[in-house]
Amino acid sequence: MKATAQTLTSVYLLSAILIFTGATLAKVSSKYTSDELRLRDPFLHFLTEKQVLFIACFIELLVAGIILLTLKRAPCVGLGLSLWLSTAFVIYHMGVLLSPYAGAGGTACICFGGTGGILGKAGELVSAALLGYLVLFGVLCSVAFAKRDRKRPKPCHDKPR
Amino acid sequence: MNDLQKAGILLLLVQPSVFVFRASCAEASLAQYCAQGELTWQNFGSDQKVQFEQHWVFSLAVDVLHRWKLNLDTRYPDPAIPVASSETISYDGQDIYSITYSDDLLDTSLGKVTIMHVPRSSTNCYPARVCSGPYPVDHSSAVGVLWLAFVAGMDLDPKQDTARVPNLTVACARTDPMAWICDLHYRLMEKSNTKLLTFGSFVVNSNYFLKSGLDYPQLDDPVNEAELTTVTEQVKQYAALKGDTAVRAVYQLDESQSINNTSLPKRFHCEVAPPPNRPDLRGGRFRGVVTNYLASVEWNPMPDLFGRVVVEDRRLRTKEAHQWRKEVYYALPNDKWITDTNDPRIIQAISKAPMRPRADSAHYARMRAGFLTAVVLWILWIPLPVLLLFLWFRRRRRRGTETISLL
Repeated sequence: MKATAQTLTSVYLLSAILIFTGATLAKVSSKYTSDELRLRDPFLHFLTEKQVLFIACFIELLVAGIILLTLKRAPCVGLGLSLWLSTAFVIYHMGVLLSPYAGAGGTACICFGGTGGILGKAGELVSAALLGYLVLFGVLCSVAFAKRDRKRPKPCHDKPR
Repeated sequence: MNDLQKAGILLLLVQPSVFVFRASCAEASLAQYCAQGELTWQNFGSDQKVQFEQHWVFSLAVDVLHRWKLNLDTRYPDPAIPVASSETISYDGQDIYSITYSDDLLDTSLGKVTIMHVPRSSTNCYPARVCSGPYPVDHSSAVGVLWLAFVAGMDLDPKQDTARVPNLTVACARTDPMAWICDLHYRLMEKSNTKLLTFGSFVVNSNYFLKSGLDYPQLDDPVNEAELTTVTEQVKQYAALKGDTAVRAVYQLDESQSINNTSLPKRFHCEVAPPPNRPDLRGGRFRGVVTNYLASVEWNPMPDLFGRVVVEDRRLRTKEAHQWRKEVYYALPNDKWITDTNDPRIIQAISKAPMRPRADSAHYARMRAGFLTAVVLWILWIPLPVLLLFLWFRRRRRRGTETISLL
């Protein structure tokens, strides 16, 4: 059980690193026009698309870096961070779909470069699939991790006095 | 940028200002008359000075079936936007067809205005529009005034003096509710074999203020928060118009002439009130002068087509409780207008046309509530790692203190 949970978590964390790095690359390499970048973000309306992309890239790289650094010593940190970021993206995605600031026909989410990105028209679908994977698999790993921790004998400093 | 986008943002190829009615082999017929002349718009500030002026050269032909064809050449007067265009608008007894040609590409996307002078051969793609008749609601107020002068009288009842007619003196009848809340109080020329409008005034009728956009099928519904706010503000301002201020435009025929026993306008003008939210403006005036009349002219009632034409078709507008469709886009095949709305190209275009959410619907209110929930969730979710980090540090510090006290 221990080995399974650890392997599962390692696979998940490595894939999370790949996905977050890939998403950053997709954003950076997408040929957004200057007009698109000047537009107000439909969810975070006080920011422009450019600012949102910049902040998202920074956070994704930071999270990917932390996951990589804590991969062996404290995988639960990476697990938590990955779940946190992917859930934030899911909420953002839902907000964009429901946004009253979106134009006619809705606005494409730009998490993974959007429809104008390197993934082209498949960008939206890939984005939804990857976010679904990160959240669902992340929850699964967390449950496995929690079960493993419950079976493990607690360290002495956690014992009640 | 694809062809549809190009067509959407462009004013296209210029034609010579003198309009020539071409006889197309199959569709050639005779127009009853063709009037050629000039139209001028002057906008006055509160100090009575002209703030803005624009000129058009027009040519309008009408046949016995009340079909008409208008050609309008203009050059935008702002030196910063030196755009010349030629627009042809035709009514075939059912729908209104129009196409704009210009040498100047005018990119107005996202509020910016960029002018690109391109040779015709580089794009060879021109924007056209089709909407249901008989009112030219998709066109400028200049078209609306010419329609009032030459065409409006033909459909009015001489026994009445008031009719509900769209106020086409507004800049954009599709987005301005003012176009749809007015009565036309009118007089027709007496003892004339043509029903010519001699006087007409558009007056706001408070009975036409209706609750939902569904009650105005030809008015574009707001699709987002900003547009909804604009329309709500406009309706509030229009509802406050009483007495003299409720008169939004007054058309007057100044002089007429008779050609082959047909009475036609020679000089006319139309005074247009400023928008209620612009106290700095005194309003504007259209002045029209007919310089030439041609009787029994050979014509092709439909606008001539050149190059690749992309049509914005609004005949298939539809409004439902939660959403609506504004238009469909398609390219014209073989230089021929598609008059049948059951044409496979149009059916295919409908399947691709997005339905837009209606911002005044209950569904939109639910979407907005969902959006606000997502915002609140996001605001609570984002600081979570920082909060956990803080708690972890505090726990660690407490443990450290406890260890020291034990020692």
